[in-house]
Amino acid sequence: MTREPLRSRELGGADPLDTQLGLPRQSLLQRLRDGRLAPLFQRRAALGLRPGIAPAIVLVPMGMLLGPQVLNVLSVEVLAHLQVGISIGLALLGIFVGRALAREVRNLRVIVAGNIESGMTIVIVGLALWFIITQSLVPVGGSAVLVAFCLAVTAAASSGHTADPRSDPAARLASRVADFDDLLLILTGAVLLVLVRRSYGPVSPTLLVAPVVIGVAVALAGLLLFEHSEEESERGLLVLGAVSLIGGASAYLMTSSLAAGLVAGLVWTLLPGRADEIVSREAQKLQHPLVALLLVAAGAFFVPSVMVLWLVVPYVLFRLVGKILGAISTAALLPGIRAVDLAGYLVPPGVIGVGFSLTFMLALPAEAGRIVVSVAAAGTLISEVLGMLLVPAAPTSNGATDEMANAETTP
Amino acid sequence: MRRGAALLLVLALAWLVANLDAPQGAPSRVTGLALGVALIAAYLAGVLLERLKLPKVTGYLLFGLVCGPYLLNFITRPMARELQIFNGLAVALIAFIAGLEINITRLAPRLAALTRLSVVILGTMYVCLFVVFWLVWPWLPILPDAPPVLRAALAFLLTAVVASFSPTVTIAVVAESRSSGIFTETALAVVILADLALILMFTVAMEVVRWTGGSASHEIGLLASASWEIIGSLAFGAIVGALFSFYLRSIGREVTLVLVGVCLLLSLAARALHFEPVLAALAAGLVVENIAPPAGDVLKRAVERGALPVLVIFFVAAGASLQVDALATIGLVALAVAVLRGLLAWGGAHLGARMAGQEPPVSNLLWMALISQAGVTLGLTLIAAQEFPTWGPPFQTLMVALIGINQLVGPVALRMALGRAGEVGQMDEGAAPPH
Repeated sequence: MTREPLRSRELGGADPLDTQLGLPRQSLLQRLRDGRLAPLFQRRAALGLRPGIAPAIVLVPMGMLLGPQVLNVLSVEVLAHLQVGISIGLALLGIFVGRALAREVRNLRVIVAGNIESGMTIVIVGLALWFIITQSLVPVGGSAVLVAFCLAVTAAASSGHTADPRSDPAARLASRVADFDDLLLILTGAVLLVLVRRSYGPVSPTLLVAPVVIGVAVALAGLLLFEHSEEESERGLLVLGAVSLIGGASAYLMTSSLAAGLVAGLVWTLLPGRADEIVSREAQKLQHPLVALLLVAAGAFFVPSVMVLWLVVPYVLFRLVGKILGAISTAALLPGIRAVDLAGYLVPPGVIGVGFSLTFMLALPAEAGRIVVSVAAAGTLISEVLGMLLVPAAPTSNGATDEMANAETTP
Repeated sequence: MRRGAALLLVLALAWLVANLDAPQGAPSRVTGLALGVALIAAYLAGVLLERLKLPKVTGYLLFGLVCGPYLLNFITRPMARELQIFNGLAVALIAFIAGLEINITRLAPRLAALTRLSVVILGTMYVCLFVVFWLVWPWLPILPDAPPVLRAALAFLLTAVVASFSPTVTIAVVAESRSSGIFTETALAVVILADLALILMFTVAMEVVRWTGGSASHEIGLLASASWEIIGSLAFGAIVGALFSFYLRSIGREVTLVLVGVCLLLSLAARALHFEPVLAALAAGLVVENIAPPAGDVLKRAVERGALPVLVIFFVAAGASLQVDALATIGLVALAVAVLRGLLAWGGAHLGARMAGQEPPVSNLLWMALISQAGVTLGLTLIAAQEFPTWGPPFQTLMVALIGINQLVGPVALRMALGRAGEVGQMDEGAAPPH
């Protein structure tokens, strides 16, 4: 029995092990989907689960349930150990963004559109939340402007709906805009991390280039190793080692794993050789567990408080405003897709934003960090639910869209 | 050349990062760095040793030992502790793989012979070790002036722990070398049966020591706890395995994610319920292989291919946690016990093979699979040391030193035996073991 391919950069398609095992003859989920529960499974897919909903809708609440606030299965001690996986997961996502960017560097219109849209979201959410925080009487435990803009960076991310070459061209084009809007937020986030650290103590300016140094060094080591490894298991080990080194070195210096991963992904793809293919193939085996870890951890770190309740609604609303205005502003660059459709596609935030909040949490003072991660987790959850309602079911398409969408090389 | 340049680049990056102004914070922040460096550098060390005709496993162990807290301190104590955290998951995954290797239909015709072989080996080791320990007790550093009855009880306890093997290390070496065949299967069966015997014998020996020392109070409780540990572990693992098989048959999605969850469950829940994680994970793998054979076989191949990072980290952590100071204090006595244990493993394996009708490579190489000792033995030693503070600490020091020696020698010996048996890499060939 064949499986319908499902691809998006954050989730990377079906889990390779699932593909090897093949579908069960009578899948329980398939029976549920075809039965009375059919309406629940109409829209976006969760991880590799074909009849599904966005992974954040399942995994963030699961994290909240398992976390210290409710069942305490994921206790504070366990969560501290999970930091390793979080930084590795973010490095992996950064690598995928870097690969995507390097492969489509000539398609400037989509890249510019994505970054205008995310830039507008950062500015709108950041200014709005800064105003709200300064007007509230409840302290956030840190600099209001930094907390507001950390949240704005987490809000700017959008999830690629699909990268399946056979999917609707408009959906594919919107997915690629969503892929490239990560670039600005990753760079802004990396600078913001240094500013956060500078505001609480002296920091060497060299820290600003640390993600570049880490990314380039690991990418060069990878180039020397990957192509000359003899076996699949050896390649898997070396790729995991490289991704762990990017995540680990970034976490050690408290710089952005996403930015370091992005640099490594760019180097692997732009320099000649098969390194990017090898990384992509091997990293896919890790992708789903790491994405699940990021979402569950974000849920587990959620701590309800007055300030979180106070911020989460404007976070979602101004994010929506940012996405709509961003889509309207970039519509001229993307002929063939209606601004309203593009805005709808950009609503689901995916994993990168909430993942970034986990890095900010470590850099900010404890209370401010808790607020950032809690607002980002709750905001992601609500935005994903909104995304289920707003992502167009039958997107418009025409020749121009098809042409732009087809410019993408198959991932 | 390329690998050397890559290794230099990785080490230079690690040095640079470690010397920049990293913020103070939780030790878990260093884990990712340690993990990345360990995976790449230890693997390259393994490849280098392989060129010198030594097993890769030795490279991983030596990397951990040399870079660990007792020598270069590149992997510091907090890093070594953090790497140990992966061990729970690693042990569960390793034992799960071993369970997937056990196909009851295939093994049934050899079960009687394997049981006879194990009983003779263990019987030989138990009897000889007990007699020797009883005779040389005044020269051992554990309560040398103990009265005869207590001396016999302590010799029995020491015998129980010294005669143990490490299923985890054995399975890890087999998985790393991708070995398969009759020798591999026999070695796995013997060490797993010996693990069951260890738990039983240790419980009985502790009770005898308590009784002779006048502190016995809950005999039934202890036997019950041993039964709970063995039967409970197997039952718990079997239930988890059955549920996982059901998942594979009925849903079959996100298997990697669910498999990681299963290993975490086996590792954490088993520990919380006082089960033996190795036994529980083994039972789970066995149930999956025998309930859902086609999926079990695919899963086995995929997991074995993907398990290399887990195995490398397992051996690096083992090397980094070797307590070199214990070897320094009590090294000669420990070395003598290790030599005696090795000789008895050799004698027991030859005798057992003859009595069970086993032929080469089992008859002449099996003893090399019986050298390794690791976590379970260490854990049991700690239990005894904590309960008996008068003679417990020297008992623990002797065992830690002995385990250190066997942990270094055992994997190398097993890897050499697998090579001589011609079974290295046979897993990839997909060849069923000859019968």
